[in-house]
Amino acid sequence: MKVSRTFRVTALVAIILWTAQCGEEKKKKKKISEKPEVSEEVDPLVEDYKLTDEEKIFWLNKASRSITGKDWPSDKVSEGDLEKSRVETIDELMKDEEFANRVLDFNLYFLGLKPNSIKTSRGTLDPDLISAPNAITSARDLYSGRGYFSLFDLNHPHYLDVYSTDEDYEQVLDQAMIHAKDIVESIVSYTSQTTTFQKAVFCSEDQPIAERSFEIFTEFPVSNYLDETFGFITSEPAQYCSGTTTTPFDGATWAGKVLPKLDALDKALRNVNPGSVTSVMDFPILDASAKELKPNSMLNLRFFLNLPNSSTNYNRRRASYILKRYFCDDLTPINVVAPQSHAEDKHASDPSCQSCHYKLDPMAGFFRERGGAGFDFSQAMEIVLDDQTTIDHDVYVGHWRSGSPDREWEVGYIRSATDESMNSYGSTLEDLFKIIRSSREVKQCLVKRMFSYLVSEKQTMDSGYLNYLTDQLETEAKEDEAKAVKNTMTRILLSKSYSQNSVKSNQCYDYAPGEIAGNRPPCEVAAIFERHCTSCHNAKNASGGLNLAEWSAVGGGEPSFPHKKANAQVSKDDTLASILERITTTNKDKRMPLNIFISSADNEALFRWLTKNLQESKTEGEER
Amino acid sequence: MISIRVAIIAVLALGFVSCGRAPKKHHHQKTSVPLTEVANEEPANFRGYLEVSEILKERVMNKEFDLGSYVGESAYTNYDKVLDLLGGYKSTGLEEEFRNGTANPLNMLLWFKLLSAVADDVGQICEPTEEATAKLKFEDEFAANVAKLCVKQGEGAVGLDDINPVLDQILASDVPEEERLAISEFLVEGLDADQVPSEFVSDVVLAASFNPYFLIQQ
Repeated sequence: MKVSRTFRVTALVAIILWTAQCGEEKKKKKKISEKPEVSEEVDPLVEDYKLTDEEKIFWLNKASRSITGKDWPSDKVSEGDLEKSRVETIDELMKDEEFANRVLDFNLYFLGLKPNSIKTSRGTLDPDLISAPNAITSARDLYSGRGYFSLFDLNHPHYLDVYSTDEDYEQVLDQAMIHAKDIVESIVSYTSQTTTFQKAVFCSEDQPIAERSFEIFTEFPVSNYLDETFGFITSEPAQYCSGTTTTPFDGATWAGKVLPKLDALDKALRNVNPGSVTSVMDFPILDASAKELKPNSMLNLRFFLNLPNSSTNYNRRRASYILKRYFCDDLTPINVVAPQSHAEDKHASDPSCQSCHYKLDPMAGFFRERGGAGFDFSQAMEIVLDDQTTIDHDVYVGHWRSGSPDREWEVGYIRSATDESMNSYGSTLEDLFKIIRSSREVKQCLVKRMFSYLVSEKQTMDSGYLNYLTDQLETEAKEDEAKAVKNTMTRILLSKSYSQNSVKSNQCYDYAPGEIAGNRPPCEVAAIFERHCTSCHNAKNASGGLNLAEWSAVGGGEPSFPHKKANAQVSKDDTLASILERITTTNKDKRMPLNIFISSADNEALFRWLTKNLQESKTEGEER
Repeated sequence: MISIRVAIIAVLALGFVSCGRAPKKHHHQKTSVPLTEVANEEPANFRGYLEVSEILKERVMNKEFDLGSYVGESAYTNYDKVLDLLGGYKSTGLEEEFRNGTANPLNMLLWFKLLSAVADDVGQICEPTEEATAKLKFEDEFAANVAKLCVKQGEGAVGLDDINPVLDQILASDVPEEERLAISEFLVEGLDADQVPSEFVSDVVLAASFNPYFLIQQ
């Protein structure tokens, strides 16, 4: 997360650069409303796995580290600690303010932004954390019981990251304000003295006015992202000089908007002690009374500069991040049944390309108005990308124009290449975040990452158990988001995978209620087969001779699915290869599951499991 | 006599190696477990240098402790070089991923050198020089327990009751009782009557910290 002054300079340069390349005003955006969900009965939390005293002591310390980041508070665990229910213990630990910091740490992990430590060596929170405002808002919401899914929102309050200074803090603020106001006054003074306003003169001063305006924040004792957050306040001169706007620059009007915001910033900074933020709950927020503040977005410069677009990637890097981090979709290239028609110039008509592009391109479309450094070009004639390519705006966004009469844009989260009713279409980035907030895939992804974070990234998780935890989360969240997320954490902290002090990564320890290991197929995929396949491939009705409900040592050989052809058991490798072929074929009459929707995540899990097993089998064969 | 430190390395290194080895599949086991097994087993990641530094800071050392200082770096910056090899989150563009989390000969050697240096520093509690006292600060209770160990010298002088409080403070509840007992007995039985107390303390600390239960994510 450390970016320091280099980032600040880069950010400034980027803002100036991209401001300088905007064109004329144009388009508007549309909004989609979202209906509130209806609440349902909430299931009780169950603690069904009892621990011995030794296991409990191990668990207490581990849970304490997971929830508060510290060892169990007392050196010796008391009788009372051992007798207390684990649910009660978790509940108490979650009241510790360090829990809020741990939630922040997890949120960053979910977003792929987790640093080694959210704290500095002095024990204060890393000021650069404000570059992930969604992680902060969500952690604060959860700790205070207000909610949690703000993690999936686009806009957030302006958090301030105050750093300590060797000089007297108040004095530093005084000096910064005086200097900032001096700059504002000098710009106002210059523009008012120019009797005949001349753009060429205005914009070609020795120290260009546009650049000067960006100096305003440089002396405030706050770190990098303030320039970005507040850059828009002072970007007006730059926009004028670059030709983005044809409205003549009026210094006095500009100053009238800038000065109240500077006062708001000054006031907010005077309310905090420098360098003393040790809890996410303590991050100061800029006074909301500064009404003209642009919302603070999680799609900030850090996001856009790290995920540049170009004349060839067309925002796909940005789309890939969203799919990976929010939907747990690693874009495993599995062939899909190609849709009947493609837009002519899309790089997606080949089935093997289509395997990723069918969902990547529509996701990239949400970013179509964002050019280099994420600058919004919706009002411009041309769009400039990070590779400095300039493309006609209408031609560029036209790549995502829909051929369907049902919608203007071929933009959305695509679950099925052939069944549009499964997909969530939208247009703007606001739409994207509404889709993220309402998608089950995202909740499942959250649960999966929570399990990885609390247990281990390498621990195998039963797919039915994952499904069960997601069901519980979705159901309970309709009543109380914060409680639902805490309950999900609690369930994982109570799990066998978490509680035992020596687990094997390749074994599942936890299942959904009612599911037993027995001769179920391997836990990574058992529930997926149950959901999509076993209605046709079971012991009574083994379509094609294949029973996907069982996994046993058929005919004394190694465990496999019962699979018979001409009354003889098919070898495990042939069975798995046949399943792999059927889930990846682009022939829709042969593609399995037949006429049943299977999510990307499930299909990818099956694909990975099948290819891994077949590869291992091949390797073992070669070793022999 | 083979130095106890060498023995510790050998035993613990074996522990790590077996932790990292992917076992053969058990197709024909008869319990209900094998049927739920999938593919190869993988070892958990290291806790990483930062978490180990934090744990040592909390349990053993003091607020200023920084494991990175032993290699001229800081565990609290993202610009590390040597520490990177010991497991930690590292940026891959926008995203941060845990890297170097699996044991290999190089990072095991580095862990050994680092933790040996920490252990040697703790050993100085037994022979407090002016320089060491000025430089090193320890958690109070831990220092008191180590000081008790320092005065026990000679064959049979050190018992499990002397070693356990020190081990408990380093390992907290990270290690199962059976394993902790095995470490204690190993140290007591391997004690050389002529060994200098500071070296013995150093060995105790090394045995506790250069240990899969301490270094690997639970």
